[in-house]
Amino acid sequence: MKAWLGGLGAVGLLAALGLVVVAVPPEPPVTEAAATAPRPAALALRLPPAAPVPPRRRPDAVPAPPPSELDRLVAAARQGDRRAGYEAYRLLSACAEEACPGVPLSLVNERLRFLADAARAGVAGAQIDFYLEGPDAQQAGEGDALLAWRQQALDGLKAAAAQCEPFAMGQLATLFDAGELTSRDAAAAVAYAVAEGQLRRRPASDASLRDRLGEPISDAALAAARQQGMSLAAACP
Amino acid sequence: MKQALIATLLLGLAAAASATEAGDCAANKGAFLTGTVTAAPKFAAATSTIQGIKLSHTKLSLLADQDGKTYEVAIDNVFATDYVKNSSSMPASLAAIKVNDRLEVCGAKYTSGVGIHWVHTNCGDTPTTSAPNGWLKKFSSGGSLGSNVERSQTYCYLWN
Repeated sequence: MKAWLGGLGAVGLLAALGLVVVAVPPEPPVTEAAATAPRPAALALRLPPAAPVPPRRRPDAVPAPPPSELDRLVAAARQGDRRAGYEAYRLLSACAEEACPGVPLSLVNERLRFLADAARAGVAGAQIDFYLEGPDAQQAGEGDALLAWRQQALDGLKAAAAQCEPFAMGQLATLFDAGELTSRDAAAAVAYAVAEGQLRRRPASDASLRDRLGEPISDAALAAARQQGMSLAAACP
Repeated sequence: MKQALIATLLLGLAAAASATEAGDCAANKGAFLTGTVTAAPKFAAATSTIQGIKLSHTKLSLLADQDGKTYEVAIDNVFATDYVKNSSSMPASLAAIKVNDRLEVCGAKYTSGVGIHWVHTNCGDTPTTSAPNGWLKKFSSGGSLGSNVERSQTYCYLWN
């Protein structure tokens, strides 16, 4: 069942990329006898005079394929549609793992620009994926660029959490606990963990909250952070 | 004489701390081991994927203080606080473990073979012996015990 669904997903992706190969029954082989056979008179009357077809050129009678979904999204993204850019990023990410026929590497690489632009524009999914993609190799090697990436990633996750994305909340809880992207802040970690638990309808116990912290937290600080987390969750539908 | 007394006192404190940790592990339905790393951690590619997240592991060998056996320790990368989604390498915190490092693990022993797994949080669920609320902690060179590096609950939603 899962494999079947996966197959459907693959077909959907290929369709979106405009890469579906339509199964066409093979034409019957043209035998020498058939090729030289005279055309039936009635059919010959209805046919227009044959236009000369240059060699190796497709006859004009075959319509050009419609622009694929990917083409449409890329064009929209380049014109500033950030949601389209995020969708294009998602389609192109599959091509980053395994080359897609007809999709140039330059376009696959451009997906990261679409992603960053969409994250800056406030698309919550893009803000999460911007963090998950991590800094590119150049940024990782350069202090200022890496700092800029960290700041955008942190701001993006916070903004996604404010848009009630539970994954962003859970990730922020871990980041604030571990002191990654930002300095350690147990209270912030607890607040985001509480909010995530509320949104996922799995309220976190005090023991579970303490369990996910690398450092101890006082009862009073835990209670205050819990209140903060409840407020965060209360702002969500 | 004074040095011997201090050493004895430190050993006693370490033993008491270890007993507390063992007790905590039992309360969390886990099997408790301390020991020395004898084979460095290695990345083990995922054999299963949930919602697009590849469940890879890090494996190392630990010579246990308790019974002198060498255990394979299978660590779920997804619970490491510095896990990188679908990375094909170990989280930095696990890659930093070296041969001769001292570890403390609480988890579920293999039902066949000598090994231990589930050395990670159980996401706040009620622990059982097959799904304990486990951990993996590293001792510093000075002997102090670090925090659980397998405590991230970011991806717990995959099982809920």
